[in-house]
Amino acid sequence: MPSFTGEITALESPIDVMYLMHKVFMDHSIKTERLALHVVQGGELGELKEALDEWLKHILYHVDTEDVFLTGPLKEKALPDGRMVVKDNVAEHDQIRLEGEHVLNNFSRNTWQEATEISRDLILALDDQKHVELMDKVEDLQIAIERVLTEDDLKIRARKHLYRSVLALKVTEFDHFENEEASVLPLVKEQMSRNEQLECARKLLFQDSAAHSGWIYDFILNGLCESERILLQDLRKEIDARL
Amino acid sequence: MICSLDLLHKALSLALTRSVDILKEIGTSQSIASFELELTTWVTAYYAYSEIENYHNSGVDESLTGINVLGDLNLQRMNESGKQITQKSEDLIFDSLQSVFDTLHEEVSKGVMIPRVRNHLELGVVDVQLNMDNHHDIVKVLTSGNSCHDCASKLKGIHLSEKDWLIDWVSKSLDADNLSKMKMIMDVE
Repeated sequence: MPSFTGEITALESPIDVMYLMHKVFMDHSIKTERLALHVVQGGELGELKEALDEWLKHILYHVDTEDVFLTGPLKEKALPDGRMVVKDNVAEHDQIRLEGEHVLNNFSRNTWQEATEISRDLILALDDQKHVELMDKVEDLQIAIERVLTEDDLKIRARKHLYRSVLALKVTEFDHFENEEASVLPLVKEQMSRNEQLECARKLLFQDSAAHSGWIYDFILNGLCESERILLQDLRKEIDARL
Repeated sequence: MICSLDLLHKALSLALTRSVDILKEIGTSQSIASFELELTTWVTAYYAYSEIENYHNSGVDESLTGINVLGDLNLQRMNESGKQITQKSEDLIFDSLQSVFDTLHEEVSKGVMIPRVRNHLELGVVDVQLNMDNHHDIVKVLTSGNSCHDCASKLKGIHLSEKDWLIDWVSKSLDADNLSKMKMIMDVE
């Protein structure tokens, strides 16, 4: 069986296409995280935005499709340690969506929102009576903060929060891929026929409703090494022949 | 006026970045023990920061609108509310740090660092860094009307053996310019 990050040398079942997809997604996440770190150090936001948009477009399509065509048809299975394979997988998809929203929210944060967050922290740390007193003065408090902290202080702060959210999304995504490969894929192989797996793989690789349905397939193909590309191209031939 | 609190904050933040670099090299050029040592040493350096934070002066004109609000509401570092706030933000630093140590001790009991745990530790260290930054911002805001002292003179007064240790520690993080400012503050060659 292919390892989690090493070179993938064979697809034993059609659903093993997930190893190829996860590998390319992970490479892109690592690249995006580096861009986010570069932004903290003063780099431009443009390239990061492009990479983030691409990441979110792929991962959100991926988890939405899995909910319907991969985990959707599966019968639940409890693991010896009490975890539930399907339920936990769906919960992880929700967590990815949530982390994705955080990234987008952090991307558009401005310095005023940073000052607001500091005000909120100040207020929340106080006891109830003082808390109420300060709520009425929150705008003045924000002005005070903006007088003390420079525009640059607040900008760097915003970029660090953005980096943190990108890193959190990457960590959640990697954990999810690992769990899925360890628990969900064996269940798919137990419960789905080869044709059903081929259909699931087709849905994951091609979006029927898109103007260019092969946008996912092209992205995955471009991210693979030569020998892995052959595996993907062979799988596509089988999908085209059987479905 | 040179602000030693800003310099120490910079060194503390860069040291956490360095600990992430060490984390990424575990298994090749670094060990789990060196990562743990980096964090333990960070805590010691943080206490120097904590000791001088009451003496910071942001140098902002108190008569400016907004700053008055802090005074009117008794939101200053040394009054009851100020102490409550800074204690809370300091607690967040130590909570996030404890979480990193807990992960380290629970997950790495056999001396092997798997990628999944490494990722979580990295995120944990970034959380410590953000909580530290947040605390520093809050201290700067709450000491904006502090005109009686300055943090540089307080730092200058710390015990000689601590001075040597601190200079040695910050020299791993600060660039030559900032290091020379730090040495000047502390009267060290």
